[in-house]
Amino acid sequence: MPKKGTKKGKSADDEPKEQNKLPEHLEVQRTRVVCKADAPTEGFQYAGAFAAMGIDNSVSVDKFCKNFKVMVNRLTEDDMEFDMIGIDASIANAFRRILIAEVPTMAIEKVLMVDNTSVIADEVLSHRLGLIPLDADPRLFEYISENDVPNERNTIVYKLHVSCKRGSPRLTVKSGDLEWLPEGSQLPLASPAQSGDKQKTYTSFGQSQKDIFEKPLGVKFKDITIARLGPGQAIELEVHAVKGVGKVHAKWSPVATAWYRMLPEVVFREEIRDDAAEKLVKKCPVNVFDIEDLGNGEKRAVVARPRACTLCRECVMGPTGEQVELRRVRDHFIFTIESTGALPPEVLFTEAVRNLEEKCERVISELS
Amino acid sequence: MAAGKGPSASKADQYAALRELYRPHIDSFDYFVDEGLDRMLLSIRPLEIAKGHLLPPKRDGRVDVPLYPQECRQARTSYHGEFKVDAFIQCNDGPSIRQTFNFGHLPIMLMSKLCHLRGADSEKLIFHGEEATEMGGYFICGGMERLVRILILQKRNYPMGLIRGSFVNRGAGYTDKAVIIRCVQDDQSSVTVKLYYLQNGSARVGFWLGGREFLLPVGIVLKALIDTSDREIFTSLTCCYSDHYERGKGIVSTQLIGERAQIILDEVRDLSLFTRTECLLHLGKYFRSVMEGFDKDDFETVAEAVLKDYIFVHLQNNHDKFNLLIFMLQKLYALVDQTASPDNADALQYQEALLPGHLITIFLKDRLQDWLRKSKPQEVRKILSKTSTYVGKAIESMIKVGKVNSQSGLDLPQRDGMTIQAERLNFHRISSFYNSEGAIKDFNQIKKSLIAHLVGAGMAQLLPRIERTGPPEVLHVHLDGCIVGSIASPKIEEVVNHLRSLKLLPHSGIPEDLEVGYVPLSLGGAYPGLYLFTNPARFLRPVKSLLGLSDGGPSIELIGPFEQAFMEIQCPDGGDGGRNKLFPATHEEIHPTAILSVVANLTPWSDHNQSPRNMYQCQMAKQTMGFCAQALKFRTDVKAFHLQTPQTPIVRTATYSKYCMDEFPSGTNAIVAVLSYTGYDMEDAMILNKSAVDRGMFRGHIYQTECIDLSAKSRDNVMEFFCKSNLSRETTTAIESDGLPRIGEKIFPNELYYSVCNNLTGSVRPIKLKGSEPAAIDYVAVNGTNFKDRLQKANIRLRRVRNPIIGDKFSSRHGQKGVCSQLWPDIDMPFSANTGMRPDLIINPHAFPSRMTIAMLLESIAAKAGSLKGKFIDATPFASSVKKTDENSCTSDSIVNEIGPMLASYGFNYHGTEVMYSGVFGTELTFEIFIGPVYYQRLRHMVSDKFQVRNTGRIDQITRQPIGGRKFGGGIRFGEMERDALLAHGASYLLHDRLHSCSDYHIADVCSICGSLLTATVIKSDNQKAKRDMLGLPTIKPPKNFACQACKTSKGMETVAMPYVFRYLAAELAAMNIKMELRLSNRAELPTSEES
Amino acid sequence: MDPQQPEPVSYLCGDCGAENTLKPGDVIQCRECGYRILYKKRTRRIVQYEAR
Repeated sequence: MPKKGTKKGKSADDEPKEQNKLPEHLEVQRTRVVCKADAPTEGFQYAGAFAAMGIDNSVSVDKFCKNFKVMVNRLTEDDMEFDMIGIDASIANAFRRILIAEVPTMAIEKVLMVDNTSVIADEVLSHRLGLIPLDADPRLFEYISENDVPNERNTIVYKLHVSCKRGSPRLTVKSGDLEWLPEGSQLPLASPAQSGDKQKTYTSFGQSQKDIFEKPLGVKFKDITIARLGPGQAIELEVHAVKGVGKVHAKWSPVATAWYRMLPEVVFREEIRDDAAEKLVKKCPVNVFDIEDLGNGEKRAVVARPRACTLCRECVMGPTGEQVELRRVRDHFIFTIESTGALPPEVLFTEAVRNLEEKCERVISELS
Repeated sequence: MAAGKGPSASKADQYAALRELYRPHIDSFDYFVDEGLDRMLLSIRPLEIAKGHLLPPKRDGRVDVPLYPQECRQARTSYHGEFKVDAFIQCNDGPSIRQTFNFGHLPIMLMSKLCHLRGADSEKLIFHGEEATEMGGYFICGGMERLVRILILQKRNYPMGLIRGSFVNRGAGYTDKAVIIRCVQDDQSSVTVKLYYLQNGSARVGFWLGGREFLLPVGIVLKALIDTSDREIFTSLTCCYSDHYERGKGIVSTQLIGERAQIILDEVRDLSLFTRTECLLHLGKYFRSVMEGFDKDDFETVAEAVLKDYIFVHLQNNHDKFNLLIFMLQKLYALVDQTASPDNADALQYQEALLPGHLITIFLKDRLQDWLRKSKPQEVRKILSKTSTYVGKAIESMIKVGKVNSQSGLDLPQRDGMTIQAERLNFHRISSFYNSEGAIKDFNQIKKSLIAHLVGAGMAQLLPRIERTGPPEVLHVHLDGCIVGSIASPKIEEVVNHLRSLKLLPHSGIPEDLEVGYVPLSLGGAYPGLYLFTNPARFLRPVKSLLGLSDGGPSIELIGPFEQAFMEIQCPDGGDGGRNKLFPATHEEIHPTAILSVVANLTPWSDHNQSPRNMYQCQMAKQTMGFCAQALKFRTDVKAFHLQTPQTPIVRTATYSKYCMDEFPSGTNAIVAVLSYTGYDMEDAMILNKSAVDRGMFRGHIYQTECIDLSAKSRDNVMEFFCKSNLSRETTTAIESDGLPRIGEKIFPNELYYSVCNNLTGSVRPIKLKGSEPAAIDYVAVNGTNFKDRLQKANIRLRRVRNPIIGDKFSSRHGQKGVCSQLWPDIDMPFSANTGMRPDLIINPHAFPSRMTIAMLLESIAAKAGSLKGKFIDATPFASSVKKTDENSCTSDSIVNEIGPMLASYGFNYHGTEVMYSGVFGTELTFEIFIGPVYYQRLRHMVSDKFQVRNTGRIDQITRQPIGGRKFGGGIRFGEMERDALLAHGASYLLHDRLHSCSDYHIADVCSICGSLLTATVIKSDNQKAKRDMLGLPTIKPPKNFACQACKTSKGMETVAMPYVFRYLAAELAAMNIKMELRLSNRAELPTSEES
Repeated sequence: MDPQQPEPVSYLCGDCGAENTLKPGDVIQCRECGYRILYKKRTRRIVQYEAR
């Protein structure tokens, strides 16, 4: 992707509008992180770093509004990659942190074990159940606190009732065996109910969840192995899934990973030609470089795919160490979100933004 | 890996290497069953024994129902079989009657010939509730798995020259030099004979009989053994010396030997003993009172018996004994004259192993003799009617307790600690109990006839008659402690080489494990000779022979430690080992890792580590919390640690797959980042990723089985049984109507979990859960094997969750242990730019420079490359040295250069580092981080078992100071060094608080007139006050209530705060008639003084 | 004595696996095969766990 050129041009366009322009080497220091063969990275950045030169390096809303840009590169059901340009690392990190730890999902929290004669211990089985991603939109649910009664708005109930008959081969219990109970729990509470009354169960659903939600609330993946049963063994249990966030327990985390990296930028200090160029192209495991034919048998190395650079520093460790410079653009983040399935990744990101917004509002309201 | 292997037939082979580890135990027990028992019974003298029977274990003593080990573990009984002996009894010259004696039960070793599981395949083992890899080799006594320890003993039938200070104490004239031989009989019982050197040049033969050592002049023994003349003794002794030689190579004798021989002969002459008969009479007179069962025999028979039973018991022929004694004398004099060096008793060269089967054989013999001795005075009828089950019980208790209760001591170096409990914490632990890697091999199958065959046919042309000369002209040839001949010294090398090549041939008649101990001629070195050993209980190991067979077949030779010391064995990683062309290597190690044990072999690339780190890892591997058993459901271990989600290491050695370690994995491939990130990773602390733990990393359980046998510990002889109280019909407790808990129930500390009913009073006593953590009932089993069929015996297994918490201990496989200091939130961990991965675990880079565990760094990058490639990486130590000899190809010079390109090809840094971003600030870290998967183990030491807190609590009855010990809720000692620290800081208030206020603060009433601490008495019989005083509570009281009993006045009474132990000291001193006087500063009479 | 009979407890035979229901005072023995080690059977009482 020829991002480098456009980006360069853009910043070149922006800068002259400021009163001063930094000399080139300082500009590189300001906007790039440089990597060398022996000492990996260096660079510095703070608001007043270039104050003496008349350059304001601080973050301001205006600058942000002017420069900020998001470009989606890849979007599938489970993961996405997008570029976030013109933003400070701390804010990019805030999104990452919120995605991992603070965007809520639904996950199994309570396990009511009726029978478990499998080799897996009750605690281990419950732990495994807890980690199963559920196909339920957490935005449609409320948090449940300790004293709340589980109802159709804060709890999803599933049933797991499997047994392996004597004489039959071993049975693998998969997550698909979890059966959604839209009417709530079917297990009666221990205290015997008054005659005539409806038997009290572990939940008190006002209405069927079938009427509230359009699609059934199943599990995201139906082929996760939960346990294996030998002949004569059985598992019977009911689970209650509730809303929660990843910082309490990793099972509520909506992402497998969410992370970003700065856009790599590979620059030649000098031109690399012929054999050295061939060697350089061959050396790079991720094919950052290409050969440009200059005619009459002369060749030149060009940086074709700088985005692919993993900073393995293979190119700067060899004889081409002096000619190649590896840089990263300081305010250009390649952000990747891998969803666990409850919400699509793009929704997750907007949720994260909303979450940050709420936080900011909370701070403002607390301060005012 | 294991699943992919396919047919179950190969699966049996899969565990073959594993089973090989435990073979010495099983083989030796098989020997006991097959031969040892009969041979031992034959050697029990007064009784004529026809046959001993040892039957396989039977359930409830019924003949048809086999008893399986699993049932014994469950029922806490022993896996034993009936032991009977048929013997002939003759009553007062009547006809001899064949009588069967019942000696109770003998424990049966698992997987031995009498075990029902012998030869069972994995399916059968699993069917019977065992591990698929069950290897046996242990006994089950009272439900406990006991393993006989393999003790180190002195090498049998080899005369050792020793210098020990303790020999001087034998008596006047004794020196510190002696030649000792441990003679082992056919039935494995042994008698040690010592030949002491006396200052006057003579020697004494010493042996233990009936608890004391008897010392005989060597001349008498020589003459008593065979009909011989003084001249023969003289020439035999002096043959090894001739004037022709000076002190040259191989000369072991000096001209002094002639004088010494004269002294020996003179000693006998002085006692006016000339002939063999006279000597025998002399000995018989001396020994008749000591020897048992010879009260009615004449002196000569007694003497013959002494010589047979105590002098060189491994030899039958008196001529052989005579020759051996002569040889020992020559060796003794060589030792004295320093022409031969003393042998080192601590060297493996002169050691052998005590095997379980042999131990049982000799102990059973001892017990049977004891039984005979005890029953002799009784009437014959009584013997016949009595079933002497205590013989079986003695064996069982020996295995159960590990104590050998015998008067004679059985010629063993120790009497207790013979057995240990086979804790099944993990594979490493269990394998180290067996203590062997093919090291000990028991060749019981070698029969006597084979040895005869060996001497007769195999070596007849090699072994001429014994020549009456010694080194350096000829060398004596010993076969299992018997001098069988001698060989001229120039020819000996040829003979040795020929013997070695015969060893390699399959049907040469020479056993493949023959130990050819050729001690060459040397200047003042070990006493030369050719010592051949074929006996059992030797250590053996395989090496490659370079001598080579003509057909070029595999030439693996089994060598022993004795011959090894004089062999030239080269090792692939050691070059030529400093040998020059004169002494070319004759043998080669199969692989350099042969020096390592099973556990040590599992450390990847241990050749790149500093050696102590490898040792630490071997220690820690045994403490690992791993997958202890697959048949956990059937196990009744008192405590079993279980890791919930173990993994197979990506980087592994060849040994790992050889021993099927995947059956019992013991760790997790954790993504380890090496950086100092939060400060919580200082000093070997490590940070765990909370999310990783949430997802199940290092989670584990403790299974605790409680066996409650109410019949065994009935209180006041009142029967108790499990029962639930009829009165309380509450359903809140986990107890069901049988008095035992429900399965699956969660129980919290101090909750009731089972209840016991007293038969007499009918009162129900519920039992609370001890400890401070909740437990789940994993399983409950009841045994109906008890009296009256009341429910009295039950096993309850509790399951405790042990998820990683701060303070738990972890370790890599390189002796790098650390304590978890934080469960750090995932979002705060640094993340990798390329993969977005956050590390599972962070360790501090300071863990490396001083410890130099390079292999851990190698493991990290290798595991990273391996996981990218999807292949396991072989990390067998010394692999590079072996490879070089095989092929001189372009193998890279270091492991890094092998793995680095692999990493680089996947776009990772060559050296295993990665660009990371701070999880807190979101900026790139200004350095690259070394990160990769390292196999980490969780160790069994957990804070939950160790933390100790207390504010107030129980106090010691005598000193009134807080008690110690975590179990009792005690405190942690504030000792002298802690006191010194506070003193140095001048923190006197704190010091006072710790040592006085929080300890044994006490207000004492002191009479300032007499200065006594103990004479205060209450004037008024104020009960309340006295009570408070007794309790040591500070009371606000008018001091005038007390009076001094000595001074008969309450005038001088004062209260003084002091530690209570001070008062106790005063009382103790008073008991010794020492008066302690306190001088108070506000004392009435005396002007001034301080408390003293 | 208590008029209410205590409810019987179910056991599984350690050898043949047959279910045995025993009342207090009954002989501890499998009715099918006579094996004397019996494992308690799990009851259907609900136990609550946290899925963590």
